Amino acid sequence: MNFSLDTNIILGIANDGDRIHEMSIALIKNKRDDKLVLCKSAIKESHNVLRNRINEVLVEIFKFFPDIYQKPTLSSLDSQALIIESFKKKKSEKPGITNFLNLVFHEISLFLKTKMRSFSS
Amino acid sequence: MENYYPNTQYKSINFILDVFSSDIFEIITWIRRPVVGAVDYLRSMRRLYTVQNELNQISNVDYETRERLLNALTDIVSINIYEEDIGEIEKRLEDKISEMKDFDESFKKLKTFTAKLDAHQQFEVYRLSLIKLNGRISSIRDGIKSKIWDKKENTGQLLVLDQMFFLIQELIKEVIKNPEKVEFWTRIAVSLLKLEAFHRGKITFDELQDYISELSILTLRAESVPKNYNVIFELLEA
Repeated sequence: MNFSLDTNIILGIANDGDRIHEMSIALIKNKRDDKLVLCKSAIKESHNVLRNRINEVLVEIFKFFPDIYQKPTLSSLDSQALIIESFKKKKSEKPGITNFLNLVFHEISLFLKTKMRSFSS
Repeated sequence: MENYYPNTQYKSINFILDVFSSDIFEIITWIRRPVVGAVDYLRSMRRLYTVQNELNQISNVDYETRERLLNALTDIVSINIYEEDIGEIEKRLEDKISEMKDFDESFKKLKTFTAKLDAHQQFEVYRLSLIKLNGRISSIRDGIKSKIWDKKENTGQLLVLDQMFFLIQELIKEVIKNPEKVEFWTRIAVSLLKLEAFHRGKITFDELQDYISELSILTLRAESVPKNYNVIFELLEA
C-alpha cells in the first residue's frame, strides 16, 4: 500500500530533538512494508520550515557569540560554559524554538570540539 | 539605480547586491558565454585576437545597457521555475539576448567561436571560467560574512543570501565535473537572475526562499554536498 508524509512528520524524523520524533520514527517503522510516496511540495515545505527555524536559531547565536569570543581573557572552558548558559537562556526566552536550539547546539558542540582553538583566535 | 523598485525592508541584502552588482552582471555574462571568463587562456592560445572586439564590447558595456539587459532577463525568471521548465527558460534567455541589438552580434559570434574550439580547448574554457566564477562568488560571500556579525545588520536576511550563494557554488562544482550538463549552466544563470529579480523587487523574499528550497533539493539529488560540510560552519569561521 502507498503512503505519504506531511511536513510535520518529515521534520519529526529529521530532528531527533523534535517532540514528535519518537512517534514519527515509530510511524515509519510500522510502514516499512509499504511504499512511501513523497510529494515534492512536502519536501520543499519541510526544507523551508527547517531552514527558517535553523536560521532563526542562528540569528540568536550570532547575537551572543561575538560577546563571548571578543573577551580575550576567557578560557576555552569558560567560553563553552557561557555558550551553554546562553543557549539555556534562549530556550527559556523562546520555548517555541527549543527543539531547533537543541539541534543546532548539538552540531555546534561537535564543531567547537575540533575547531575551538582556531575559532577563538 | 533609477530603474530599481527594491524591497526596501531588505536593506542588508540590498546593500550586498548593490555593492556587488557589477560582479553579478559579469558572472552572468560568463555563464551565458564562458569565453568571456577565459580571456587569459585565449590569449595564451593566441586565439584572443579573433574575438577581442566582442569581448571588449561585453566587458565595457555601459550602465544603461547593462540595466536594460538585466531587466529583460530578470523578467523571464520572475516566475515559478520547475525542473521541467528549464529547457524552455534557456530558450527564452537566448531569445531575449538575441533581441538586444547591443549584444546580439557579439553573443552570436562568441557562441560560434566556442563551438569551433576543439574539445580540449572548450573544456579548458569552461573549467577556467567556472573556477573564476566560483572565486567571484566566494568574494561576495566574504562580503556577506564580514557584515553578518555586525549588530546593525539583519543577520537572518544575510543568512538567506549566503545560503543562496552557497547553493550556486554547489551547482558550479557539479558543472565543473560535468560541463556537458546544459541544464546546470541554465540553473546557475537562473539562480543569479533570481537574486537580481529580488533585488529589483520583482519577486518577494518568500519566493526567493521557496526557490532556495527548490535549489537545495536539486543539489542534494546531485549528491554534491560533501559530508560534514555545512554552510553554517563556514559562517561561524568567518
